[in-house]
Amino acid sequence: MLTDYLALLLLISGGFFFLAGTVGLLRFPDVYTRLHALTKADNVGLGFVMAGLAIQSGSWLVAGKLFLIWLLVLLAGASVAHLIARRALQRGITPWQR
Amino acid sequence: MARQVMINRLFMLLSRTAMFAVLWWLLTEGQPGSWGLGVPAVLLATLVSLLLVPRMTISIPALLRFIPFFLRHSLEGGMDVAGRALHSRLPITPVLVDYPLKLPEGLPRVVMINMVSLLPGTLSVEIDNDGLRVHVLDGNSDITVRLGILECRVAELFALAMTPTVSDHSLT
Repeated sequence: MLTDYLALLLLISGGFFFLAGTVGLLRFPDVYTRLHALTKADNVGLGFVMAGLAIQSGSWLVAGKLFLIWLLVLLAGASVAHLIARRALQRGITPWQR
Repeated sequence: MARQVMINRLFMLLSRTAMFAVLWWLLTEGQPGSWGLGVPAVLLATLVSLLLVPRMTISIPALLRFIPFFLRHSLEGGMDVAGRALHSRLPITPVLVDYPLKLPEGLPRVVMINMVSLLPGTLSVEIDNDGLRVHVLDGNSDITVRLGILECRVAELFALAMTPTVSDHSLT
């Protein structure tokens, strides 16, 4: 019962970070700042969602598998963000400045 | 001497086999019937990793210290960017910063550039011989100090000796 509430809290927190990441993606002015929103907010959001689901699953094996998925998404997200930012700079897209 | 090398090789073989076995066990959620396929897959993965991934030292105590450091900072990074995205005035002052890397080439640098992108306010953009070019969301923050701390952590992880030098503030 208590774990259900904890899981719910974690899932809602995760959803909040996904929402904030999406708002950042829409509001931030250029490719670099948008990548910030994606890599950071979404990874934390996914971490919370995975933690909530792990608690709900009630199984250490499933929890381990979810953790593994999170690690892979972190790795993929960071690598892809780096590649996109690098290509953008090589193509001469200058970062937005205030 | 030769015996020490043998022991090291054996340890590397066993630790990698154990790692892939745990991975298989997690992926199949411990189904006993899966090991008929799992054993050859684990052995093959170990063989391929021995051919492709050079021998490296990872400090387990440093890894254990790194995990809470990473979790705390990625949470901080997520909250930071979420707060900025939802703020009505969009408080960002992005700049590009060049940071001279002291880490050796190979896996330590790869870990470093990925960590930079996951931690608060920084995104690795370019890496070359001179160092790392980082896009920073908030140009007012003391970014070279923070990158220096991260670099020391990564060096610690790979049991590399490194002296922290964070004196030069090469903000551009």
